[in-house]
Amino acid sequence: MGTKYFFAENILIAESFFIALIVLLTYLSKSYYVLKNTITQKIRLKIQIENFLKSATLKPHNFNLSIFPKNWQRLDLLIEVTQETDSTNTFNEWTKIRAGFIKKIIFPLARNMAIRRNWISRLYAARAFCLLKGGANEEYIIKLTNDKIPLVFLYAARAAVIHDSEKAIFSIIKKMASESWTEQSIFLQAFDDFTNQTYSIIEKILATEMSPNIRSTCYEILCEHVSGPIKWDMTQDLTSKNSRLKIAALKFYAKPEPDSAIPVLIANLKDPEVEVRLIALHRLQMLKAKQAISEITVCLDDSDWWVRISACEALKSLGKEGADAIAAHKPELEKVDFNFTHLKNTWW
Amino acid sequence: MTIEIINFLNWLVLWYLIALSLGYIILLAASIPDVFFQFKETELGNFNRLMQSQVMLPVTVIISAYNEENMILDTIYSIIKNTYLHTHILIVNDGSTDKTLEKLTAVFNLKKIHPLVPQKIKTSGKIRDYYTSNFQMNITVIDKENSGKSDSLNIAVNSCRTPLFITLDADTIIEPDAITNIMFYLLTHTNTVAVGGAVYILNGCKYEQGEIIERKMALKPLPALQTCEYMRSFLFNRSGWNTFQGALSYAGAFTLLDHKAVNNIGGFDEENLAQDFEITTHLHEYERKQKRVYTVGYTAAAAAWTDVPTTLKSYWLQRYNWQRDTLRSLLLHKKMCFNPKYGWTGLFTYPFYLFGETLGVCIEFLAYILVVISWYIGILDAYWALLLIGICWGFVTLITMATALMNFITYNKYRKLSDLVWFLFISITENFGFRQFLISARIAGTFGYFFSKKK
Repeated sequence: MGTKYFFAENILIAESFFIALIVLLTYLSKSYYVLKNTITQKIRLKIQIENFLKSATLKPHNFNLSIFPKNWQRLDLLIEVTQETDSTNTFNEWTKIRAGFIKKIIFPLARNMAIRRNWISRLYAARAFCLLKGGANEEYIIKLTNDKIPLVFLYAARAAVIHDSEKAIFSIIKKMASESWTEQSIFLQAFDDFTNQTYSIIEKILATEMSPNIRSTCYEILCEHVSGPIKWDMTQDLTSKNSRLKIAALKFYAKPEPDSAIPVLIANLKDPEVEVRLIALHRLQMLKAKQAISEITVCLDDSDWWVRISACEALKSLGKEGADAIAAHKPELEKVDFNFTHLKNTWW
Repeated sequence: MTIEIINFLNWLVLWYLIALSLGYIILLAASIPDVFFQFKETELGNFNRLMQSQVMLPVTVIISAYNEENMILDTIYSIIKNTYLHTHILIVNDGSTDKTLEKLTAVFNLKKIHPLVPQKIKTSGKIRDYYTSNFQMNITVIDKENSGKSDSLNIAVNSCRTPLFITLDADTIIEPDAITNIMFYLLTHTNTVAVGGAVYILNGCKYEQGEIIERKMALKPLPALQTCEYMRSFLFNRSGWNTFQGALSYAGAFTLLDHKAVNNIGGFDEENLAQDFEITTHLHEYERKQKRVYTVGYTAAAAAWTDVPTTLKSYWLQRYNWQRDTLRSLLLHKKMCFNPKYGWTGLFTYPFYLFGETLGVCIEFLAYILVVISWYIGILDAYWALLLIGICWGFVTLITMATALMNFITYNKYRKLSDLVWFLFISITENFGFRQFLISARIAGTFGYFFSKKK
C-alpha cells in the first residue's frame, strides 16, 4: 500500500514539476524569440544602417564598405533598408553606392545564407539575389530554384529571371515542367521581369529541347510575354500527341500569329481532348474570329458541358452574328452568364 | 474474485491514464517550439506586399449557411475586409427558413444567374438558384434545399473555380490577416493539401461589420468553459501534431483545402456531421496511399472567431454528434491504425486519436463507475482515490495553464489581466461538473455510433 501512495504522490509532484518546467520553458522561449527581436531593437539598428548609408552618399567616392560594422550585417534588415531606399529615393546619391553596397555587403551574406538548413535564411538569400543583376551568384540561385519551400523557389526563380542566367532559367523551366499546376502558376509570375534576353534563352531552349513537358512550359511562359515573330517550327508541337504540349502551343500560337492561327484553331474544335477544344474556343473568342461562327455553333452540341458553355460565351462575344447563332440553335443558352473567368490562375 | 477484477480494472485505468498523459506531454513539448517558431515566422515582415501581389493564388471562401441571419453579414464583411486580394466568396444557403437569403439579397443586391456547374463530386441537394452581387463581383450565392452541411460544401466545391478553398462557418469572423497568414503557411511548406487555422470564441467579444472591436472572454460560464477547450485544442494540441505530420482534424470553422486533393477523395462525406475530421483523415489516407510527399498542417497565426453554443442542450447535442461521427470516421479508416505504411500518422497520430482522444472518454467514464463500485463493495481507499483524481484534474489544469501562458506570450488574443484571471479560474473549476457533463454527451455519442445503423 505504501508503494502505491508513494507512486501516486510522486506523480503529483512530477506534475507540479512539469508545471514549473513549462512556465520556465515558456519564459525562456519568450526571452529568446520575442525579447531578442524586439521591435525597438530592430528599428534602432535600421536607423543606424540608414544613417551609415546617408553619410556614405555624401562622399560616394571615398565610401569604404570595409568599415561597415559586422553586427549590422543582418540580411533581413539590409534587404528592408535597400528596398525602402529604392522606393522612396531618400538619398540623391543612393544609386552611386547601391551596386557596391549590394555586391560587397549583401551578396556575400546571401551566399552564406543560401546554403543554410533553416528555410528562412534561404528565403532571405533568394530575396537578396533579386536586388541586383550580377555577382557570382548563379550557382546559389540554381540551388535555391530547387528548394522544397515554395516561397524560397519563387524568389529564386525571380532572381534567375532578373539575372538572365541561362542555366538558372533552364533549371526553373525543368522544375516547372515536373511540378503540379499550383507551383506552375506561382512560377509563371516569377517571369514578370521578363526581358528580351530571357526571350532569347527560352527560344534557344525551344530550338534544342525535345521533352514535351519542357516545351509546353516554355510556351506557357511565352504566352504572357510574346515579343516578336516565331523563329522556330511549331508544326510538330501544334499536332503533338502530348495534350499538354498541344494545348500550350495552341495557347501561345494565337498571340503572335493570329491570322495563321485561326484555321488551326478551327481544326482543333473537333479534337477528341476536351481541354484542346476548350483552348481552341477560348482563343477563337479572344481573336474575335467571326469566320469560325458556324464551327463554334457545332460545339453547342458538344458532349462536354464546359465546351458547350465556352462555345456559348465565344459566340456571345462575337456580336450580333454570334448571338443570332445561339438564338437559332439553343435560345435557352442565352441565359448563361455565369462566369468566373475574371479570376486569374483558374485551373482550366 | 470481484475485488480482484475491480483492482485489476483500477490499475488498468491508472496505466492508461499514465500512457495518455505521456502522449499529451509529448504533444505539449512539440507544440511549444512550433508555436514560437511560427510566431517568429509571421514577424518576418515585408510579406504583406508579396501576399497582395499577382503572384498569389486565388482562394474561394466557402460558407454553408443554415438559419444564420444574425451572423452571416458579419462573416462576409470580415472576408471582404481581409488583406488578401484574390478572394472569392461562395455562400450556400442550405434551405434556411429564416431571412438569411433575404438579407444577402438586400445588402449585396443579388441578381439571379444561370450557371452550368460540373458534377465532379456527387451531390444530392436540389439547387434552386444561383445569384451574384451587382456590385461586389467576388460574391456568389447558391440557394438550395436543405440537405446538410457536407452536401452544401460539396455543391460549393463543384462550383468553386480556384485551386484552393477555405471552409468557413457562417457564424465565424476571420481576422484581417487570417487568409494572408494561412496562405503564408501554404507557401512555406511542401505540397500542402490542408491547413487549419486557430479558432477562438466570439461570444463575449464586441464586433461590428465583421470587425472585432474588443476581444474579451465571455462572462457566461458555458462559452468561457469552451474558451479553455478551444485554447487547449488549437494552441497546444494541433500545434503539437505539426511535428508528427499533422493532426487528423482541423476546425471546419476555418480550414484551407487543396481543391484538387478534395476532388480526388470525392469531397466531403455526406453522412458525416464531423466533416472536418473526416476530410482531413481521408486526405491523410489518400495521400499516403499515393505515396506522395504532402503537408497537412496548422497555423496559429491565422485566427478566426466563432460563435459557440450557449445552452447546455445545444452544447450536449453538438458534442454528441462530434463524438459519434468522429468515431465513425476513425473506424472507417481503421486500416491506418498501427500501420507503418502510413508513417507517423498510422503509428502514432491515429492510435492516439482513437484510443486517447475518442475512446479515452469511455475509460474516464469507467473510472467514475469504478469509484462508485469500489465504494459500494467497501474497497475504496479515499486517500488513494483523491490522489488519482487530483493527478488527473491537475494534469488537465497543467495543460490548460501552459496553453494560456503560451497564448499570452505569443499571439496574445486576450489582453486583459481580468481575462487571464477568469481563464485560470475556469480552467480549474471546469473539472467540477462541466467535465462530467461533457463526458456524458460523448459517451452517449459513442453509444449512438455503435447502436445506429449508419456505419
